[in-house]
Amino acid sequence: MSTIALSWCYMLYFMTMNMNPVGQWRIADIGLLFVMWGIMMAGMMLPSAIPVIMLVDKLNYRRRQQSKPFTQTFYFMVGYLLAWLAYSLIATLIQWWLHHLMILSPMMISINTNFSAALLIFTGLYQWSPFKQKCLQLCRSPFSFISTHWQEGVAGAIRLGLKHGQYCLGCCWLLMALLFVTGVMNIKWILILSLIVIVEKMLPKGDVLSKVLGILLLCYGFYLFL
Amino acid sequence: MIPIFNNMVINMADENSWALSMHQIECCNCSHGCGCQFGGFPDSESGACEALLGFSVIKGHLNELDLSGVKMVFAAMWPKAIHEGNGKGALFIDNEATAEQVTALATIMSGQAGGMPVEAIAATFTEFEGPILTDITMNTADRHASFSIKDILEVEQTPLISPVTGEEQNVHITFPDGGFMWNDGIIGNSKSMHINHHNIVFEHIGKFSAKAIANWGN
Repeated sequence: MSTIALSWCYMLYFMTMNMNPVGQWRIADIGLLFVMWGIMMAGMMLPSAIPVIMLVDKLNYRRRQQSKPFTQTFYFMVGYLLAWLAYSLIATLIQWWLHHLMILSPMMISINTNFSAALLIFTGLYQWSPFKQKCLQLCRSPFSFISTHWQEGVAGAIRLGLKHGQYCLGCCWLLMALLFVTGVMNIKWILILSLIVIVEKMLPKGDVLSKVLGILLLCYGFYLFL
Repeated sequence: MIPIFNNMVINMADENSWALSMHQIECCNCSHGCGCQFGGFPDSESGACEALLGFSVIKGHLNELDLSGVKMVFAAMWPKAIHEGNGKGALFIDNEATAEQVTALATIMSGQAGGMPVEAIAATFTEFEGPILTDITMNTADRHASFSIKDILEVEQTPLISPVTGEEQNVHITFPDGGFMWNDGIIGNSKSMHINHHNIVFEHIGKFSAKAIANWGN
């Protein structure tokens, strides 16, 4: 919980302060950008993982009550965040490259309409792909995920978290990449995208919504092209 | 959170090795398909999960203790999806089981010996009653499985009928890579399905039913 609160705190109050428009791209800037992506992903993705984290925690809590060996739920979260840190690293490098190609403005927002439209259309199509839907289904089923993949120990908990993180990645990597279109530090869109991810994963009809969203993204993408 | 089985003193070594291969007769409040099998959320009208499961152990053990032949019934209800917790459950064990077998099954089914899926299921309960010793009648015939406990609960499965030809259909749900309860379920319909036991009360007729061989262990 506190990790989520801290990352939102950072996004709301410190992000714009830390990240002045980047002109020169020194190593330190890229490092800072990576930190920002990492915190953003933690803040945006962890809330949607609350059901699975809570289930792991309930299991560990019960073991603790029975004085049995258990692993702190923290390690599961570490594994989960590792997956998103890997994504953050790639996103950072892509962003660097996009700045280099002058597709992103120094304010980290797409200034190339074709790029924006293409990304929107691709994301819209992806929402309907069997791969995305499969990943979403796995993310939406914490109970069957835990009972079929459970592993013991610290290393097991990290692996379990990493595995769940991979499903989430498969589900949401393009939605997160939409930040290039909306502006990487645009807090309003960070909030909206986080809510979309929560609805897709946590509500009973979330899978239907993910497809509706796909259509909306497609429409907006084509609109931008014209 | 209320610890389950808190009225029982079970003090066993941590390395309780167990395995159960069982007939599983399952009925719930979902429409055909049971959303929990695929997308984590029940596709019942209320969004809740209410289920009755009958088990007949074909072969099983806890450590050295043989559990073959024992029958039990597991009743459970969750207000939302199973993983969201707040579940209520009850475990009934047939009178034919010996005292050691009852203790062993209670240890296993309450998740205290670890192993999936029982440990994950146990984690989602806030209330649990049992083991309740009673007479259980059970028929494990594949497409007409049934079980009952007099004055408390009853389940009877019937095959799905083709709306075109009126013939009985052979429908399976299979998980080639391993499902969370079983790998191959014969899917049918609940001809009767009801329970009235303390605060677990429901009735769902004409809903999802599955008959399978469940292989669990730690």
